[in-house]
Formats: sequence, structure tokens, C-alpha cells
Amino acid sequence: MSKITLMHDLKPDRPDLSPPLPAILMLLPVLFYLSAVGSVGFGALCLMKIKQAQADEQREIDGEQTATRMRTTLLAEQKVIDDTHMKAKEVETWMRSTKPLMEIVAAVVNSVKTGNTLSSLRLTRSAEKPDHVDMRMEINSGGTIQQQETVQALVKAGLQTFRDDIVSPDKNDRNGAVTYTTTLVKAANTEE
Amino acid sequence: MNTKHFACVLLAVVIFGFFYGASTLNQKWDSAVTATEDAAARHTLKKQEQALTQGALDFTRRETAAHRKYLEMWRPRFEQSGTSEATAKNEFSRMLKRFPSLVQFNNTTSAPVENKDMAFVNRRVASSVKLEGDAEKAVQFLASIEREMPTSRISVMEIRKGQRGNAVELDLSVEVPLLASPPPPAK
Repeated sequence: MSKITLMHDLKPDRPDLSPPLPAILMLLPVLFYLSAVGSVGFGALCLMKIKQAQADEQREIDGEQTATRMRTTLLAEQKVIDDTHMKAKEVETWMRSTKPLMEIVAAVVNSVKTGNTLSSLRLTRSAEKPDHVDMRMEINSGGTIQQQETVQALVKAGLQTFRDDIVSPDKNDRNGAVTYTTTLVKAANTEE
Repeated sequence: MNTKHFACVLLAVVIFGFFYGASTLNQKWDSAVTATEDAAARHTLKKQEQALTQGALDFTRRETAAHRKYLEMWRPRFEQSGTSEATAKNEFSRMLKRFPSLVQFNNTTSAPVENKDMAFVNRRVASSVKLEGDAEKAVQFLASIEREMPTSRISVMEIRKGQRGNAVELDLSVEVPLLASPPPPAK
């Protein structure tokens, strides 16, 4: 008995039960292998790129958080500086209002000529207008001549007078008693 | 449909599965790249904000340097007056005691008054005194106040001729600034 005969005995020829498939469908297995290889390769590439993108994203997020933190620190420092500046401006405003009155007193006292007398000198200033010093001077003897001497002395000391008013009981007596009121301001050209 | 057709369909489904899987991964990649770009954009924005803040801070620092130095110069003097009425009163009394030859009348200290539009030097107290004594001493006293209490402000001053030869009467009202109390420490 030959081998072929034996095979034929075990596996006899079977006629095709269905008609053959169209030739175009032979591409399917090829497509399968290509897509299997392609998808595995593309998948590996995608996973690698996704990991890289996630790492980049994390780095950017960390950088963003660092920038935010640093900005918060800078804003805090800015606030401290602004507060300090505000305090400094208040201190400056206050100090501008505390200009010494001694120079006015000295100018007035030194302007009094021998023989003339002052009975009182009043200086006032308000918190609202600290640059303005209201002066009221009662000249006992010396009259308007002494008043003019005093005004000249004040001008020499760098002060300007305005809103002047002179009250004299006897208008004809230039050497009599006079009450002189004025408002003094520091002359612009003598500002520090 | 015979078994051959079924095998073809099955194969096609598997191929479609491969494509679908690849497409899904591609979308994830795109999403990851988009998320990275968004994060980069936010990072850039924050960096720009930080740079702007830094610039503004540098500008403020430069512009306010003189004022801040001025504050540092005067701060000890203001702190000397302190934050309470008693401290300010003591300082004025101490000054008065240095001129025992000037006789005092009516030495009063007002309650603190608020300084308008001020948050730091926010109050002031006014000490008023009526003095009588030698004219020279009175002028020295005035000069001492302005020299040694430079933050104080003489708001009213009146010198009148006194009863005796060289004596004068001096009415004085001196305003002393008070600083705002520091906020209580956080618990």
C-alpha cells in the first residue's frame, strides 16, 4: 500500500462546499499583518510621546507654580513698600506742618527799634493749613513805623505777609499803639 | 454567510480594532500635547505677570527710596512720642521741668484728636500751658521745644509783657503726634 493511498484513506478529498472568495479579499490578511505591526509601533510611539508630554506638562505646571509663588512674594514686598511709603508721606506731611516759629519770633523781636515796645505777639497755625501762620502783634509804641520795620524783617527772613490788617485807635499818630494782624507764609524762593 | 465570509468579517473587525486603538492613542497624544501647550501658555503668562510685578516693584522701590529713607530718619523721633497720651504728656512735662524759673499755670493736656486722612500718624494731643518768667528763659524754652521735640507742633503761642521789668507771660499750645497702635499679634 502506498503512502498516498493511505492518506487518501484517512483524509479523502472533499469537494468545496462554498464558492471561493473574491480575489480582492486576499488583501485582508496582508492588511491584518500590516495593521498589527503598525498599530503596535504607533502605539509604542504614542505612549512614549504621551509620557514625554505629561513630563513636559508637569514641568510647566511646576514652573507656573514657582512663578505664582514668586509673584506672591513680590506682591507682599510691594505691599510693605507701599505701606512704608504711605507712612513716609504722612510723616512728611506732619513734619511740613511743624516748621519752627522761632525764626518768626526772632525776626519780630529783633525788628523792634530802641524805644518802641510790643505788648504782645501771638502766632497760631491750624492743622488744616499748617503752612499759614496767623500773626497778631500789638505794638505799644512805635506805631505803623515799627509795623513796617517788622514786615521788612519778616520779608528778610524769607516770609511773605498777606491779609494784612492794621487797627489803630488814633489814625493820625504814626508812633502810637497799633494792632497788626497778618498771615505769614514761607516765600516760594526760600523753600527747602 | 459561510465560514469564509465570517472569517473575513472577523479579520476586518480585528483590523478595525487596531485602527481604533491607534486612533484612541493618537487622540490621547493630542490631548497630552494640548495640555502641555496650555500649561506652557499659563506658565508664560505667569512669568510675564511676575516680570511685570518685579518691574513695578523695582520702580516703586526706586521712586520711594527717598521717602522711605526720610521715614527711617524720623521714625525714632515719632516713636519717642509713642502711641499713648501719657507718653506725649510726659515728654512735654520733662521739658517744662528743665526750666524751673518759669512759673507754670494751667498745664493741661487734651484728649487725643484724630488727624484727618492719616492712618499712621493718626492722632495728636495738645498740651497747653501758661508760663510766666524771664523773657530770655521763655525764648530759650521755646527754642528747646522746637529743637528737642522736633516732631511737635506749636499751634498757638502768645507772648505778652509781664508784670515786672523783663518778665513775660507765655501762652503755649504744643501738639504732639501719636502713632497708630500696632495691631495685636495674631493668636
